[in-house]
Amino acid sequence: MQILELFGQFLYDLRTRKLRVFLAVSGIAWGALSVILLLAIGDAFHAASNKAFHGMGESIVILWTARTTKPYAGMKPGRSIEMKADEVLRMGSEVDEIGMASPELTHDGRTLEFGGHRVKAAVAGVIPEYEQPRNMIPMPGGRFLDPLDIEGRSRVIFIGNELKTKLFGDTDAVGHTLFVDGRPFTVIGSLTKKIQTSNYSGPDEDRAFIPYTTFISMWGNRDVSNTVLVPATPGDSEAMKRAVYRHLGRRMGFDPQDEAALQMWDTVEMDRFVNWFFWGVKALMGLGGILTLGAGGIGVANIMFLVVRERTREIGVRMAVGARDSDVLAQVLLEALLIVFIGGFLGFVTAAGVIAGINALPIPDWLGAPQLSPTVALVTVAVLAVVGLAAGYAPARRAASMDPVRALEF
Amino acid sequence: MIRAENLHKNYLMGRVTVAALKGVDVHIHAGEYVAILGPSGSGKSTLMHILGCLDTPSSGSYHLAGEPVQGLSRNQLARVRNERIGFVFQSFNLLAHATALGNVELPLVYNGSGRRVRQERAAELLERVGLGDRMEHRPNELSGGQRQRVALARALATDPDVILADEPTGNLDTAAGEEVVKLFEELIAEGKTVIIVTHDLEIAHRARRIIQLRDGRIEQDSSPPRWA
Repeated sequence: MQILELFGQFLYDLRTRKLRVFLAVSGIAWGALSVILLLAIGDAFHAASNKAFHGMGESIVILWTARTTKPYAGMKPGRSIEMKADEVLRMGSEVDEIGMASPELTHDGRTLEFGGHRVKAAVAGVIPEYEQPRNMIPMPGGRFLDPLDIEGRSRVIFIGNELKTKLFGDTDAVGHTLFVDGRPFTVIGSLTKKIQTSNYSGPDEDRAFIPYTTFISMWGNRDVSNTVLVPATPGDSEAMKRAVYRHLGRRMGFDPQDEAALQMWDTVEMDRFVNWFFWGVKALMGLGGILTLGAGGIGVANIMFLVVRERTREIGVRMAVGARDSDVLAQVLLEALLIVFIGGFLGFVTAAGVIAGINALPIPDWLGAPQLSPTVALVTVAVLAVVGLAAGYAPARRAASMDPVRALEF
Repeated sequence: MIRAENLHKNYLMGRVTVAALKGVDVHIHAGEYVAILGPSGSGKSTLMHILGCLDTPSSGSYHLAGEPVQGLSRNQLARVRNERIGFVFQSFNLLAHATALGNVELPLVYNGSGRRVRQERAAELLERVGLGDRMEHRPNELSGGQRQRVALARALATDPDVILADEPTGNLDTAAGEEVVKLFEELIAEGKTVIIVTHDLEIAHRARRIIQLRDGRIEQDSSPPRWA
C-alpha cells in the first residue's frame, strides 16, 4: 500500500467530513494528553518522593540498642544494652557484612553562638564516613569532617543549612569561629539544602556535626545515641542485620535470637516498599489515562465502521482492480492508526505545553517537576499503537471480507 | 480466451432460491468484440460478474486463458482480476479523493509496481484516451465522458487481455458515448478482447457478436464461432 494515497484519502476526509475527523482526532488527543500528563506527573512525584526520602540517606540502616527480653548466660531479661563509640568502630571492622558503621553521639540543646546570635541546637559526634551515606553534601567552599579532624580532636564544626542561616544570615560561614557551650569551633562547611522527609533525631538542617573524638573530649565518653550502618553488599541489609545480632550478642552478652535487644530502621526495606507503592500509584494513574484513551479508541472504531460503510463501493472497486483482502485490511487499519497517531501527536504537543505551564508555576518540592521523559513518550506511542490497531481491526475485517459484487452494487 | 460451460448461478433471496443463470455456455476467443444483451433480470450482470471473476458460479466450469478459475481463493481471484481483466462500469466508480492519474495508477498499486513505473504508465494511458491535460484533475472536475475515459485508462493499466464493460455508455450523452465506443474499437484493433454488457441495441450492434440472454439462458448467439 502506498502511504501517500492514504494521506490523500485522509486529507479528503478532513475536507469533506471536518466535524467527524475532528471529533475522532480530538478524542484520541484528549486520551493521549491524559496518559502523558498522568504518567509524567506520576514519574515526577515518584522521583521527588524518592529524593526526599533519601534526604536522610540511601540504603542505610539506623541501629539503636534497647533492652533484652530473653535470659542469657545467667543474666535476667530486661537488661539495658549500651554501646560506646569504639564498640561501634570495632563492629565496623570485624563484621564482613558491614560496609560502614558510624557511631552517632548526640547532645541536644547545646548553645551555639556567633556575633550576637544565639541558637539552641543538637550537636552530633560522628566520623568522616558518615558524610556520603547520610547525604551530608557541603555547600561549595566547605567540607565535611576528615580523618585528621578525628585524630586531632579538632574543634571543627559542620552545620545544617537552617542553623547556618540563623547564625550567619546570608554571609559565608566557612572559616568563621562560633561558640558551642562557650568553646570556640571553626566552621568547615554547611549543609546544601536538601529535601528530607524522614529523620530520627531532628532534620539535618537544624543540627551540627563535630568529630566524635572532640565530642568525647567535651562531654565525656557517652554511650552512642545510635549507629548508622551501610551494608557491604548494596541493598543486602538482611544478611548484615543477622551478622550484627550475632556480633553484638557475643560482644554485649545477649541472645542473638533476642530481636528486641536491638532496634533497626532499615531504609532498604522501606525503599523497596516505597518503590512498589509508587509503581502502584503510577500504574493506577496510567490506567486512568489508558481508559480515557480507550474511550477515544472506541470513537475511532465507530468512525472507521462508518467510513467502511460509506466506502463500500470504493472497496468493491479496489477489489475489482485487484486489491487482495490483506490490502483492504491494511488500508483501513493504517487509516485508523493515522487518525490515532495524529491525535496522539496533538495530545503530545498539548501535553508538552501543559507541562511547560506547570513548570512555570511554583511547584512544591515534594511534588516534583513533571518531565516528558523518553519512557513516557515510548509508553504513550506503544499504547497509541495498540489502541489504533484495536480500533481499526474490526472495521478492517469487515471491509476485507466484503463480497466484491455486493460492494460494487452497494 | 474465455470458455465457460454449463454455468449455473443460484441466489438465496430470503428462503427462496433464485436461479440467475440456468446453464450458460460461452466461448469467446481472443480479439473478439462481444455484446451481451438482455433485459434487466436476464442474468447478464451475473454472467459478467462470473466472467470477471468477481463472483463464482454455483456449478459449471470456467476457464480464462486456459486456466481453470473455479476453486481459486479470494486472493487468487484478486490476482486474476488484476492481471487479466479490466473493468469499466456504468457509474465510472472512480476514487473521489484521487486525481485522474491516481485513479489510473490504482491497479498498478495492487500488482506491486513502483511509483515511477505507475506514474509513467498512468500518464501514457491518460494521453492515449485524450486526457493528457487533465491528469491532476479529480473526478468532480471532469465531465462524464472524461470520467469514463479515465475509467477506461484504469482498466488498461495492467495491460489485461479482457476488457469487461457494464453499460459503459449508460450515463453518457450520445457524443461522449460515441467517443468511448470508438476507444473500444481501437482496443479490438490491437487484439484485446472486449465484452460489453448493455441493453442498448445501438451499442450492441457495433459489436461483431451479440449474445442475447433471457431468463438466465442464452436466447441467441449471433455468430457462434465456427471453430468452437
